[in-house]
Parts: sequence; C-alpha cells; structure tokens
Amino acid sequence: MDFLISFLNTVLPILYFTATYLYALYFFREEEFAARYMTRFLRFTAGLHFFEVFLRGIYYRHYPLANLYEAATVLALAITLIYLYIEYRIQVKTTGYFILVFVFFLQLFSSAFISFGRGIPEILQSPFFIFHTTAAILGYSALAISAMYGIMYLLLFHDIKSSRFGVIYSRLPSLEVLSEMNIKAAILGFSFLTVAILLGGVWSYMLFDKLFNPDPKIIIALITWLVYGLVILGSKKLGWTGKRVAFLSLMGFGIILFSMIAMNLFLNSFHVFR
Amino acid sequence: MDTSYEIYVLGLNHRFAPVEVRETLSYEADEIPRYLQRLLQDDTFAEAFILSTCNRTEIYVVGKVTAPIQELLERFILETRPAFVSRHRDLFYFLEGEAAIRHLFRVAAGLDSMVLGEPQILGQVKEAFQIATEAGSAGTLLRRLFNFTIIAGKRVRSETALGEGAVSVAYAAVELAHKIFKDLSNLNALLIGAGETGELTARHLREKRIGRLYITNRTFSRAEQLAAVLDGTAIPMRQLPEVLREVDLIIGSTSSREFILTRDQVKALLPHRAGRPLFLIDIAVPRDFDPEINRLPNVFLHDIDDLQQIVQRNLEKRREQVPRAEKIVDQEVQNYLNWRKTLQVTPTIVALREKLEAIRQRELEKYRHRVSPEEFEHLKRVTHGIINKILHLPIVQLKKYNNGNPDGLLRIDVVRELFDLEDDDD
Repeated sequence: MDFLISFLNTVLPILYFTATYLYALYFFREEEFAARYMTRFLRFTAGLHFFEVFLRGIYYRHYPLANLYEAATVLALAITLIYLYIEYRIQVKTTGYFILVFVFFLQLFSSAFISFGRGIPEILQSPFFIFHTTAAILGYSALAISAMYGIMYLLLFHDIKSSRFGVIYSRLPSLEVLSEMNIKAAILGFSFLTVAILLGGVWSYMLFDKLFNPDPKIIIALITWLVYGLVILGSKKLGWTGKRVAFLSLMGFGIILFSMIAMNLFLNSFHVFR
Repeated sequence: MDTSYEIYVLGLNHRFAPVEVRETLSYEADEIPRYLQRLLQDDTFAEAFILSTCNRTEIYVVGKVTAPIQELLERFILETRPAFVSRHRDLFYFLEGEAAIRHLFRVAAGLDSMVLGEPQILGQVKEAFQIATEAGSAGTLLRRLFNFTIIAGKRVRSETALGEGAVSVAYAAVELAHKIFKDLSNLNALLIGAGETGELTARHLREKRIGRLYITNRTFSRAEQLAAVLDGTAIPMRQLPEVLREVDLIIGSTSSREFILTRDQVKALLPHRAGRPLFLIDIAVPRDFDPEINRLPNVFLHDIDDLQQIVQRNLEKRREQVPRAEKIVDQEVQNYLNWRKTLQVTPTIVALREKLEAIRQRELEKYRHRVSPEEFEHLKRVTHGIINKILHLPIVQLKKYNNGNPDGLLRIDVVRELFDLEDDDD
C-alpha cells in the first residue's frame, strides 16, 4: 500500500504536466488531437488524484489535510474539479491552460516534499478540523481560479487596448466572460472562506475559550476576507470596472499564497501545519 | 473509333479576367436552362451545367473525347454572348478529366475564390447544379459529380479553418466587439455618418441581433433612409449627446475633417456606465474620434488600421489551412474517380455473376445435409442453370454499351445499385 500511494504521488505531477501540455497545444496551436483528448485526460487524472487522496486518508487514518503538502495537493485537486465543472458549463476550453499551469506547480510542490506517516496530533482528528479545512481549501481553490481568470482578463485587456491581435486575442473568450468568471469564482471562494473563518472562530472558542487569536495566519485570513468582500461589493454595487476587480482579486490571491507558504516556512504558531 | 465521354470545363475567373471582361460573359439564372438545352442539341455533348457568378463564368460539359470540345465551347460563347470580345479568348482556361473535376471541387471549397474560403460560392455552385438538374441537362456523370462536389465543399468547411476569422474590415469590427462583449443582443449601437464600411458594419451588427441601432448623419434624410433599411432609429445630430449615454458601441464613418467625439466628451459618459465597457470603432479617414479616447479607462477605441491588422492576420491563418483543404479535395476527387472506374461493363458483369453465385451457394448449403448426395448434385445443376438463364439477357444488354456512352453508364450504375455491387477493391 505504501508503494501504491508513493507511486501515485510520483505519477500525479507527470499526469498534470501532460494535461497542461495538451491544453497548451490546444491554446497555442489549435491542435485537433489535443482538443479531442485533453478533457478526457484531465478527468482521468482528477479521478486518479481523488483515489490517491482517498487512499491516503484511509490508510494513514487521518483526514488527508494534515500538513501543508497535503493541503497543496488537495488544493490542486479541488481547482481541477472546479475547473472541469466550469469548462463543462461554459463550453470554453481555451482557458484551461492558464489554470493547469498553476495546478501543475502546486502538485509538483506537494509531491516533492510530502512525507507519509501516522501520528497526527489529536487536535487534527476533530470533526471541526475536517469542516474548517475543507471549507478553507474549497474557498482557496475558488479564489485561485478567480485569480487565474483575473490574469486572463488583464492579458486580453492589455492586448485589445494596445491593438495586439495575437494568440491571446484570438483564443481567449470575451472580456465580459472572463470578468464574469473572475467575479463568480470570487463570490464562491468568499462564501467558503466565510464558513471557514466562522468554524475556526467557534472551534477556537471551544478549545481556548476565545473567538479570536492574534495569530498572523488568522489576521491575514481576515484581511483576505475583507479584500474579497470589497472586490465583490465594488463589482456588484459600486460599478467598478472589470480591470480593477481583476487586479484586486489577483492581489487578494497574492496575500493567500503568502500566508500559505511564507508563514508555514518561517513562522511558528499554533496554526501552522506540521 | 473511341466513343467514350469525358468531363470538360471552359471558363474564366477573377484571377486573369478583369471585371470588364467578366461582365460580358455572365449568364443570368433564368436564361441558363435555355442555353443548356441549346448546348445539348449538339450530340457531342451528353450533359452540361453553367456556373456564373460575379467572379467567374464556367461551362462544364460531358462530351465526346474525339470532338474539338474547346473550339465548340468557345464558339458557343461567342454566339450566345455577343458582347464578349473574341480576343479575350486568351483569358480562358480549358481543363479536362481529372483536372476539370479538381477545379470544380476547389471552386466549391472556396480555394479558388477572390477572398480565400468565402462561404457564398458553395451556395452558388449548388444553385447551378439545381438549375442543370431541373433543366434535365445533368445525367449520370454530372449528378454524381454534384454529390461529390458538395461533400468536398462541406468537408473543407467543417474540417478546416479555411472559412474562419473575419476577412473584411466590417466583420473584423464585429469580431472585435465579440472579444469585448459576451452577447451583443443586450447592447445598443450608434452609427455616425453614412460611409459604406460603416453601413456594412451596422448591417453585420444587426445580423448579430444588436439591441437598438441609432443612426445619425449630417443629412438627416440619409440617416432616415439607412434606418429604414437597417431597422434602426434615425436621430438628428443635435440629439447626439443624449443618445451617447445609451449606447455601448459607436461606429464613426463620416467625412468630417474634425473629430466628432473628443476625449472630454467621452470621459463625461463614463460615470453613467457603471463599469460597463464602451467600444468605439473609427472607420473614417480622416478619423472621427480623438485617439486620446483610448486612454480612458474601460474604453476601447480602434481605427481602420487596427481592423486591417485583424483582417491580415486572419487571411494568413486561412492561407495556412490551404494544404489541409487541398488534401480533402484530392480525396474526394479520388472517390469520384473510383466510382467512375466501377462504371465498366466487364467488372460489373463479373461482380453480378459473383453476387448471384454467392446467393446460390448460401442457399445450397442449407440443403446439403437434408438430401442425399445424388439429389444434392441435381440441385447444384438445376440452380446453376437457373442463374445462367437469369444472367444471360442482362449480360447481353450490358455488353451492347461497352463504349463509355452516357446511356450505358446509367444502366451500369442502376445495375450496380439494384444488386448492391461493391466497388472493386483493386
């Protein structure tokens, strides 16, 4: 079983690389062969990935979100699943490349550093942990997707504005569609993030008898929450342009990346994955 | 003496013949049946059709290989089109057999069009086929040729990108609008001026179901005229400021020497737009919109050079598709020629005999173990005799036509179809 799990763990980045490559062929060269197989290939990869996460959880007897690297691989899986859903809904396949580049690096990072073992701290066996982290991961994956659509929006915006009618212009869907995806994904991510923060507060109250800990990660999560709240308010009520919304959603995601990586590496607090 | 028939084409097109020449040699749809009948009065010709569009006139015939086809067709043209000047005969191309077939397939696929891959030609080719079929001038060879031509044309459309991407300035403007907006139907547009390209752009927008279409012009009657044609709303120039607030897409197409819209005018519109983009297309030379407008946030301004750039890029992409399209044409030419090869008497007779023999053997097998060996021998002999008797007359009849004559081809084709004879697998 150990072998199977570590084998799958090695294969996943390769599969994601191949999927990314196929989507790139379709995006840049309109390769028919890629168009025919890439979605099926990505679905297969996601299926195998789900199986691997499931297996790891069962075999090592913990909810498979116990450390940073597990979080990264589940994030990669969640982004892929949400992307597949979007692709199915809007029937546009040209945006997959941008999403999958990120997914590939996420999975590569996870596969390279992940270590297996039992002995998860007791605190991470609580049902609160399961719901808190699941909500957070789903939120972060939706926000990642929002950021990717934000990048696409800015690229296309720049090319149209400066009359550069190259591959970005000819292959991406309209600015309006990109902006819509940018905002919809942000709303979805914001909702999950809200749930995660609330659950965290309740859990913290039960463990430490206080709703709020002055922990850097929590502070940053609250800042992120505020940024996205502003993004949504701005686009829905204040008539902000797609460009400003895209830019801010990218910034919000930058903060998330920072909190996920830098703090786990450099800070020592109760909230860090071990 | 060789009495077989072949397919020929004589014609001229935009490649070599200027429009002054082409217009002296066009045939109207309603007069074509008469000319087809006239052609077929000469028994050199068994079948014929005429393809006449503004970019080409081509006469296709199935004619006797021994006859001076080119001369006869040239004489036909000089007789029926007196305005055509005899010395322009140099501009004709004359193709026969496979070359003529390939030419037709390339035409239908848009490979021979002035604008590579343009879509109208396939419809025009179909119409020419329709006229010939109704006039009774299309026989076995042409009718099957029509099928294969349409297949080739459709395959090139669906399997290559030869017809994709805007290749006119007006369409490029619409394509660009589609890169900014998701759906044009809930937008309003404004056309300022009555330039030809501006009108064409507005027409395309109307086809894409744009919401309201306002039209304004210095001469108001001209705006009204256009509004009637394009199902738009004509407004006088002085109402421009109010209408500007309602529109998402503005086309400038006037002959004005000064800017119609300045940066400040457009800037004043932005607070009303609640983040929605504004798209301005400047097709006029000299330009109608101040280029500084493009610096405003969420406002896109493109002039005719930008649109030309899109057109050039799309044309290049179309040209890259040519080898794939030619390959499809080659395949379909081969398919048609393969079908023609089956239209020969001897192989048809052999195939027919084999077909019946196979049926006989299958039926005999059912009785092999139900009757004695002697009775089985009898059965074999009787059935053999029946098959031979049945085949005798059709074979004699078929052999009469062993000369490639169109009537014979029709009979062979019917026999092959009735008995479901497969194409030779050589």
